[in-house]
Amino acid sequence: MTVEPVRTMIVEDEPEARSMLRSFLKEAPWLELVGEVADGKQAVERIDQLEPGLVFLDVRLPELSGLDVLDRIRHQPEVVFTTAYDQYAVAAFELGALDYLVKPFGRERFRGMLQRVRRRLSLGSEVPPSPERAKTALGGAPLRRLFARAGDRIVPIAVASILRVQARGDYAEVHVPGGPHLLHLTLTELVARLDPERFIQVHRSHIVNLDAVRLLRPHDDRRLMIVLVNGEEIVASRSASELLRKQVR
Amino acid sequence: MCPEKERLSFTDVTPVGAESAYGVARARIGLPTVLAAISAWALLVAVYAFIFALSPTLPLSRAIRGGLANGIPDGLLALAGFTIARRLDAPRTGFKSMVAGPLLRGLVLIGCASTAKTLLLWADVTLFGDKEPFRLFAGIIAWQVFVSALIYVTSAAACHVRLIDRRLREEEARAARAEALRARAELSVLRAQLNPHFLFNVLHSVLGMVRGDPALAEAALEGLGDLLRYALRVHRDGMDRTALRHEWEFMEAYLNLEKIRLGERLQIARRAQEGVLDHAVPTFSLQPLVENAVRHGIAPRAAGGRLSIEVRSEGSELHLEVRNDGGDGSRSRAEGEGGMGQRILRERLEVLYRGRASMKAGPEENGGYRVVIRLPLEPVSEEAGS
Repeated sequence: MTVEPVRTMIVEDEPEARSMLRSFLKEAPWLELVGEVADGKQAVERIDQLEPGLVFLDVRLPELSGLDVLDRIRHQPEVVFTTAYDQYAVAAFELGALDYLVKPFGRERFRGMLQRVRRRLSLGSEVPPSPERAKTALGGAPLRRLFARAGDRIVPIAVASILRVQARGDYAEVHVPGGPHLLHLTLTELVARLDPERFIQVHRSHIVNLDAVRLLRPHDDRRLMIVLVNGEEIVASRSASELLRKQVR
Repeated sequence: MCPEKERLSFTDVTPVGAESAYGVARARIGLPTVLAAISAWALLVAVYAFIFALSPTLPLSRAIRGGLANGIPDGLLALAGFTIARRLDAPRTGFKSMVAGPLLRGLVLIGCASTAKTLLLWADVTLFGDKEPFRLFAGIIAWQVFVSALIYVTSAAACHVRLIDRRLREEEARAARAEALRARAELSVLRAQLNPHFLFNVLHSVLGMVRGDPALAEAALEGLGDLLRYALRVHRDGMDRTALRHEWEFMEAYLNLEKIRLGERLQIARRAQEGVLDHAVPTFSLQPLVENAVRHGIAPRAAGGRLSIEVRSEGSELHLEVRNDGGDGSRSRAEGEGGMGQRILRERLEVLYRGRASMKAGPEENGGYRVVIRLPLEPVSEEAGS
């Protein structure tokens, strides 16, 4: 059985970077390059016109940024972002479990990414397509859903179901009733995107969902002990304890 | 660091350092100076009175009157000396205005003061009817002239010393400020050169050339090395000024890399007038303007744009001009990060040139943007030379 190659587009303003992507794509016969564009406006037109299955999209582009492009396209391809430097965007990509390549990248990294994308494309998935995930993750509003990678699969996580989040070095370990998921971003980056009414950083390495708190009790004269609905206990820092007391009152 | 929101237009020319150092120095005489002058004058009168009182035949009232008769003309003379010295502290040079004029004025004033003193003493003797009539000795006249000359010179010198002292302190403050500003300019250039976006994109492009065009990749890496080396050298040596040639080469290294990134979208026209490259310019003056133009005027447009750089001499001035054409880039440039770099450059020009340099920046009618720096045409000094 022959599989149709995946129609692929390159959106990249720098000619050298464009020709490099082109040469990398030659190594992957399962991809068919159907178009190249150099600015955001054209990208919107051509993506809707050619309806590719996969788009390599630069974040910083003339006319419209890569993120603006996602906002305007009707067609929903799988997207791999390329970016030179944009910490905000990189954090957002993680929240949406989006694939991205940070420049400079060479053949090896490109191949690794392609393998991931290929397996995911072949698996099919019930998760929303990447432009939609990107829009949620990159929008300014508090997140309602985020996405974690589990092998080649992407797992949607309802933010309301999160019990707590714990820092693990550069990763954030998100605890939900089904078990923990790792996201490659810091607590600070994550907490900035969560509803502040509901999620409180109770400690340097802990975010807690107030809806998942069973009770608060004094731990020592200044600090509170937080008991979660699943029985887990976390001691809040002094300043967080003060904040919690105010919230309860 | 907040983004600057400078409204820049061509009609709105902000002269750099409109308030010159001289204007500032001449403007103020503080209360301490006034008190010191009054005390000195009182002392002068007292000394005169004391000398008169030494003579046993003279009553005290006579001694005081004698003191005043001498003190008033000499006091006025001191004031005149002070004023003349203060006027010398102006941006003028030359034998006539600096030496001959004050000397002549001084001689006339000393003559007037001596005459006034003698007349007042004469009036005192005549009006208050001493037994002895007033007699004029050559020795007394000589003495009067000598004292007046001494007072004139002393007051002028005191004023001069005070001004020199102030000038030195200003100079120190200025040097400190120049240092701080250069540090900021360096930081902003280093930040811009190491602007992660620029740097990573350049590296990415070079990576792409490694297989296809190794020679071009080598040249690009050499250029990147030159760029960083210049920025670090200015930083290490604390250079405020350098030959335009070095700034020009720095700009070229930068543009070559931008050209790799932007390709045909970046059109460059550059022109350096014969001979101007050997003149002195502030370090980090040209490249930041060019980078602003590329970043805000050309890179955001799909069609790119044309960048013109021209350096030329006009009369006794050196003009550095950077402009980019069309598009609505000018708007983003006026409000973008360009504001900060431009402001630092403007401040540095003020500190380094004290009103002898200016910078005009603003959108052009055709939608482009233009920045012109005017500097005095000066040779490169020793320290800035190599």
